[in-house]
Amino acid sequence: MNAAVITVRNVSHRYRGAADDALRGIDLQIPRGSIFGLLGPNGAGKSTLLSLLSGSLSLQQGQIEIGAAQTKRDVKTISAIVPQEYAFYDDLSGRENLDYFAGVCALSPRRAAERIEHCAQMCRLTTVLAQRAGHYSGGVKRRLNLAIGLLNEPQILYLDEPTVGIDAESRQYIVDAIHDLRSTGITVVYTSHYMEEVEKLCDALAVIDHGRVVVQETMDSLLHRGGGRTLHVRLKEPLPSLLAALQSYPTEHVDYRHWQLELAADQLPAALGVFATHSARIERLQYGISRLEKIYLQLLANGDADGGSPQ
Amino acid sequence: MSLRQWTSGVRKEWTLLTRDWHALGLLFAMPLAFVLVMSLAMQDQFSARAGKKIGVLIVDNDVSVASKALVTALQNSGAADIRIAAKASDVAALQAALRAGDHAFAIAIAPGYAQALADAKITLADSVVLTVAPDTSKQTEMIFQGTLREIMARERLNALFAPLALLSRSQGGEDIAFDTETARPRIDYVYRAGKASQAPSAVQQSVPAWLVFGTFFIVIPLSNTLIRERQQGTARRLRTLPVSQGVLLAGKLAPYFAVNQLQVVLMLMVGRYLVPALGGEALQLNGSMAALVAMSVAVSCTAIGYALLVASITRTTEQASLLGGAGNLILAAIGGIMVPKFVMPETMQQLTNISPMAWGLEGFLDVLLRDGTLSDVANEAAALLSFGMGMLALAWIVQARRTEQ
Repeated sequence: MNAAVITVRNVSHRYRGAADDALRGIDLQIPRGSIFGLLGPNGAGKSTLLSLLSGSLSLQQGQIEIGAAQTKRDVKTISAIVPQEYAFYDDLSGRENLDYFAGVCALSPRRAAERIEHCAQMCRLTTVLAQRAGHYSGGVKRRLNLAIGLLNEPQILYLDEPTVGIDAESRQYIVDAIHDLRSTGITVVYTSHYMEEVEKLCDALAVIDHGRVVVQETMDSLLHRGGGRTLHVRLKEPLPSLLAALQSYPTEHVDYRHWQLELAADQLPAALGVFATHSARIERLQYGISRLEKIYLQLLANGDADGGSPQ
Repeated sequence: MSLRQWTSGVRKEWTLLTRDWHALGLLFAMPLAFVLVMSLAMQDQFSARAGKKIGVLIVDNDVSVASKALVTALQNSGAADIRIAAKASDVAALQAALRAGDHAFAIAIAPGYAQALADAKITLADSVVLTVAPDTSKQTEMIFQGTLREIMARERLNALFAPLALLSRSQGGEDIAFDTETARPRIDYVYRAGKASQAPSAVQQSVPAWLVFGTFFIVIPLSNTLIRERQQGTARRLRTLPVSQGVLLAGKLAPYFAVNQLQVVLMLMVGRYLVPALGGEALQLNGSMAALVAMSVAVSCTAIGYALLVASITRTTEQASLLGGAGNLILAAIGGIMVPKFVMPETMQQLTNISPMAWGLEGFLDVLLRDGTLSDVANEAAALLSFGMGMLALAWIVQARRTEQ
């Protein structure tokens, strides 16, 4: 894992008039070039932390180091936030919105044109740029939201639930776009309630609850927590006949396509043999890990008092 | 300040504003309609030419030379549209005619008026009775009473001096008659230097009033756009971009300031060209151009400051529209926009001074009616600018506190 690009030390924050702290002594290290998941239930403090990191809230207590930034303006120059809301103007077209935000970021007209073209392509917006943003579907609005965040070529991008409430196709476009960012070296801090998405995208994550970091680990390390005996199999197509054949193993199946078996390591060859004899076409196979959602719920239920161990 | 960042803000805000037909209607059509309607409807109240006269019903039960002279004098006064009623109408019939609404007054001349007129010891109150219609204003009553008293006094003087006049004529001397015209003062209107004959017209009063009113309505679209930015998360995003809040605000406010200036130009042109084309009087653009510009800028700054404060203390566009709209109506009502200050009682006239609209109106009237220069409007402009800056500072503080919540 790379060196930390964001270091948060003992950060606490209380909103004016609130009875409790929204954040309590947060410590975090986010590796450079990683896609870092920030998970937690609603009201846990994720958005407050993103607001502090992105500079839209002032720091009250603790310390935040972001790259080589010395001033708040430096922080704003190297980072960008994509808020959960559709933070643009409905009565402007997609191109006018991008043009405005490029101007606000002080990109020269020529550079702005290049970036608009690039971001529009990346977020698959080129065919709708002339339309008013208010007429876009929820998914296209999310993509425009993301494209605006990418205009300034940020080194750090904060994504606050970028796929919430949209159709599967648009979600896939956004997930693909974020995945593509990995090759550019950008650091992405990503909040979402979609565990499958986080599991697929993130290299590391932190779980926040009641303003505290419950755990901070790499994704691999976390998925191996308590998942030593589980075989996950995803088939290319459903296969109901497996149900009877796998009766001898404690088995869960979701839709005859996803199977989850509790096995000791020495039982593994036999179990895989069952799949082979039924000519099952396997799309994905994992053993020894658990699903993020299960771990996440366990962490929240246990309150994971140890606070995790930074990687 | 980065010019690129500022011009991006100006272009964006201008585009949004020109696509908001409701806002444009509110900012241009509404004050324009007010200027047109009020200038045309009120022109008789202000016109130097005779408008609709006061209807007066006269019942002459004396039918003497003296009573006919009284009627003729009233007709010649130009103040009244006299209609002679049938002889011997009783008081009840007169009152019924007044209630019908065609006349403001009725004058009943009783039999024996001529004898009473010639005897200074006899009061004329029993011979001439003035009855006032229920919808006649006190102001009109006082004016007409003054006219009637003047005519009756002249007629009595002529009647008293009639024997002397007869004697003078018999001895070949000059005729003796009292002509009150010779006792009138000269009346000058302090309207425009060197053109004293030009009295203020309805358009000269209406244009500044509704212009100030219309300018203040910038509060609704401006506060709404700020609140929408806050609600949609755009304000949060903008706070994270490498641009100062001052540049963002300047880019946002410039188009609204320009719209205010357009409103002023348009309103003046309507008064100058459209009102006369529709039968009203033309607006005279008196005073100095610098003073006019100073007032236009000052009123706009105040309206914008007020809009920012409304945006900062409200949470929804509905609240802002209600507070801004109702606030404007109250400021206009007490500021002499809806009812001219000079017809208000003394205490209300004092109260107008608390409304910034009154300061704006007074400044524009200084320019357009009183041939004002920059120094003449300096106080009003300074007060408006200070008020606008105060509102801006207050809005900034409230917004900063809200951001941390």
